Amino acid sequence: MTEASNSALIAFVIYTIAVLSLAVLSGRYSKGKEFVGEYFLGSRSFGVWAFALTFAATNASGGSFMGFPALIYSHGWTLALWIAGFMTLPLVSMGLIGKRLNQVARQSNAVTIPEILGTRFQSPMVGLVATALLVFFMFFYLLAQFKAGGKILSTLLAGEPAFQWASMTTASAVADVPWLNQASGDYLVCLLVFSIAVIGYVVYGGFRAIVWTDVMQGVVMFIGVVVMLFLALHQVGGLGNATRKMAKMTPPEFGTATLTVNEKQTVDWVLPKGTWIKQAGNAYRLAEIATINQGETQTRPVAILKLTTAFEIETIRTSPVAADISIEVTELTPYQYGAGQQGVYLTNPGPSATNNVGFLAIGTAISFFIFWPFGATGQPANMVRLMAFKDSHTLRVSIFTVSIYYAVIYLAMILIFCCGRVLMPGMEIDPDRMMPDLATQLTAVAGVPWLAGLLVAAPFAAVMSSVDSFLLLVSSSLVRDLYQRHFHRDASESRLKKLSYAVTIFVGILAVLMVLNPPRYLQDLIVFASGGLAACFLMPVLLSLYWRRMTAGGTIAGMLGGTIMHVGLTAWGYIESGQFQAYEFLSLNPFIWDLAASTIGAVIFAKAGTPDPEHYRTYFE
Amino acid sequence: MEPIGVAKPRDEGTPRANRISNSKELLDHSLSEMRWIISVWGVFFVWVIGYCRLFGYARPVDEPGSEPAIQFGMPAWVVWGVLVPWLLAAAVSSWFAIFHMANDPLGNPTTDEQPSD
Repeated sequence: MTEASNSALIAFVIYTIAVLSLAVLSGRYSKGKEFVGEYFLGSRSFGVWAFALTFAATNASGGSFMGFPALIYSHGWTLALWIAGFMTLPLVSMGLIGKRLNQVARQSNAVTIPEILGTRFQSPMVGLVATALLVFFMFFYLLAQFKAGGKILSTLLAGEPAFQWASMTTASAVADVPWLNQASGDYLVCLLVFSIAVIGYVVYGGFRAIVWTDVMQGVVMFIGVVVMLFLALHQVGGLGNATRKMAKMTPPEFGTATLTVNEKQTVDWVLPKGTWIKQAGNAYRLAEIATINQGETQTRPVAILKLTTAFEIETIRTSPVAADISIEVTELTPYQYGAGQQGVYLTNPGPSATNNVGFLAIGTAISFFIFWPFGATGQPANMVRLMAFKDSHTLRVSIFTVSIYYAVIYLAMILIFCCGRVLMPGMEIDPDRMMPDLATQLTAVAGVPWLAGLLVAAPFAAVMSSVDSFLLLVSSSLVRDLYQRHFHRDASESRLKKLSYAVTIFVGILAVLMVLNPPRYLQDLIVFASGGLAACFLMPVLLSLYWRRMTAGGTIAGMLGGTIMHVGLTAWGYIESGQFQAYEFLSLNPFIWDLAASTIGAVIFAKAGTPDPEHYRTYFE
Repeated sequence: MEPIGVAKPRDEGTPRANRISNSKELLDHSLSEMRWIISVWGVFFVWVIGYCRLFGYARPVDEPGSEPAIQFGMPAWVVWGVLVPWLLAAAVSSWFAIFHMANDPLGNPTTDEQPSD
């Protein structure tokens, strides 16, 4: 792990220097341009490569490079069906509303989504409701992404001596500070470093810096994935070999065990997470750190993983640090779906440790095929980018570019991490480490360990690109839609500039403070926030752009209808399961119901009102 | 100074390429393209979900230990239920965007003018 951490540290330093440099260049490029349009929308001047790659990179967040590989490893080929909705994402999310949104934004002089809606109907109330809902959902999204950034960096740098020293020093320094002492030292260090870098370049460079860093991230992602694909296929002996081996695999078992030595220890004996123990023809892996304290011969019960696939067990050897250890298993829990079944990694629904219907029931598969493209269409971060391209030719070529781009990276990742499943047994103990650990192993075996740095740059580059977009989105809503629209219409450019910088810094710092001690369900909030944004904005924006009969009342009803359904299903799920996850009525993703509620609300209220002829004459004739 | 929140009226006197585009023309093209896009999505939805449901889900009648069919190194249902449609979707999306979508003019970028200090 140390080599991976060295590479990750170097990659992070180089990448951070690069993004800060781009921010400085962007700041210089922006001089002389009108501030609001340039800071929040890059003066609507982006061409094909900038637009295509910022659009692609925004949709590929840290989840694509940490969460998705972890899922592929854990559940197998079923992830191909899970992600399949991405095949039409470029066409749907860019083609459905791109030209029309861009035109209406120019016509209404808007740089934000609430501004478009408010101007379309000449209704301050529409703008205010849109701003409130956008800030509400986006802030949760922002919290989750800041936490993800800190977590990813901490995962990547684990094992790096300098980082470990910094973590221990920080933990000691804040041991007596309330709130701060709730978080681990490594997480604190990573969160602060990550946040300072991101807030810094967003504040200084604005939208243009975000887009330029997205271009760099998009290139890094593409090259990284292609390189990993070639290395993985070569080292596994070909895709067919990997798949045939997966066909023989059966899911492992989680459990607990105690570790024992013959003699009392004179010092604490620490066995790190990931230690292998082979005993009596079985292979076990520690899922957490185990310690035999001084003066004792046994650990407390610790979490373990037990392999069940014969050819995997044959390849395992006891780790040197555990040479004299014997293990006594106290509990084993088989997977709820797929336990003992060969072939389960090759078929749907895929194995699952926690769900007795498997990972991907058909209702879930249907839901995701709908959610990926249409959910992306409804994301404000994507809509803002659709307002920023310079002409229709840019949009058309970008659809072509992003279609090819997504086909390459997502199909490649499925192949890579299916190969990874064969190359690295036992990663269920920490599947989020799949990407950095596989990158390290592949490059080390290939004799180019320095290349791991490029590959592990992809995950935190992906998170950076999401955080920067969300941060600026919240900032623009507060400055443009709230302050300039409702408090000070004639604010000077200088005042708006200072306010934009101050609000961006304030929002960023507030988000960081709130995730210093992150709430338990923060990861679920990503799902809540992204689903809520799409539920709230997709149909109101779509109908406002294309339906002349749409009214301010219909827009507000659409936004609130989707929001209420989304919050309601989430509350129902919490009451049912005790977890912050929406209830899947009729086994369908709540997005389907949110969209239905939003559409019904919008149409009923629009038909109940009378559209102002002046409003639609401007946009429809 | 142009107040915020007010739409700019169409300027009839300037050349077509420099005017805000005729709303109706772009709107008509966009609506037609929307129908195409949703139809394309629908075709791939039926293909992917239908094929994977029929051939990609483990069936109780399968003999335990029998190996799912493998083609080109992957499970066969992935080839015909995900890979082939994905490649075709990329091709159709590209064709549609390059050759079918109208190159509607969007008009010149408009700017706010704030009073300077």
